[in-house]
Amino acid sequence: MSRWRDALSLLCRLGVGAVFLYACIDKLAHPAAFAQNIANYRLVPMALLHPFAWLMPVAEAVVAVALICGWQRRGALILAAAMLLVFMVAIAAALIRNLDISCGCFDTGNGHAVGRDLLIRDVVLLLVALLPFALRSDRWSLDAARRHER
Amino acid sequence: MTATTRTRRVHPTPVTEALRLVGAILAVGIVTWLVRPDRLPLRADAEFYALDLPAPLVSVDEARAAYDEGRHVFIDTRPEATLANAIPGAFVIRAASFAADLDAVREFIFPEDPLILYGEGSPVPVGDVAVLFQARGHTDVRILQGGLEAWRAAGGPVANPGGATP
Repeated sequence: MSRWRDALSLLCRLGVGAVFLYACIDKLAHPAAFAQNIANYRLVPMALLHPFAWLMPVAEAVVAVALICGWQRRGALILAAAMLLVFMVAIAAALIRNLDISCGCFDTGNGHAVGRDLLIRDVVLLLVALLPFALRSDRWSLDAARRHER
Repeated sequence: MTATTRTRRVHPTPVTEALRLVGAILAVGIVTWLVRPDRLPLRADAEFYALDLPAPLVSVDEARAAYDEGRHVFIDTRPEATLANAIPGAFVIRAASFAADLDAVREFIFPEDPLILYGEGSPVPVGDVAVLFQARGHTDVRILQGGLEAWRAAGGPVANPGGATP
């Protein structure tokens, strides 16, 4: 297994992990504002709105830490990809319905307006999250370190 | 058997890893929800987000000021439309019998009149009546936040609206 594969796989993990980590900070700090952001999409039923708004930034944080450390590496990549897909569906649904709303991606207060550029950004992130599966390298990850221990 | 178990432990499938992470997410989510003082209530208050309302909300305080001023027309939209315990002077106009109810009081309500619609509590069913008013060309339609319940709780006057006019 060549070294560039290991390095690229690590870079992908760190990249997606850093984006998720940055994304969760403001949401964790302002849960009520984030709930309003989600409500604006008009996709999540009222009964699930608060649990969803509470768990989404936690999920981003856990996945980010897992990606950066390389703990449960492939599971974290799958969850990151799944979350990106959910974000893309939400953004696309907002675009189709011409909702003029803030995306709530990184900033709960005065965020970027929902637009096509966000879809493109998420597609790129999704590809980056899936690339390590093709590279088949888990060097420099907690998973690999623990396996060597055994 | 032992070999299988060992292999599984060393090489969990990606799905197993993802499920472990979901478990971690739920655990962290529940713990932070229990610990954080600014936790969100488990159930969101539809009224707070007021998303699907076709008309803006008006607070009880504002509505009472408008009532005292006497310029606004109050509309009781409760489906059961009991004539008792309503805001004095309100007209009973319900979604199910909108056209007939409105025709009965046509000479008292004009499209330019500022309207305040109310229900028992939730503004969501009141929204249906607001849409019907808007379709008839009424432009100043608002919904009483918290409905009659909030109005009563704030000490707003309540009476029998039968036959009364604003």
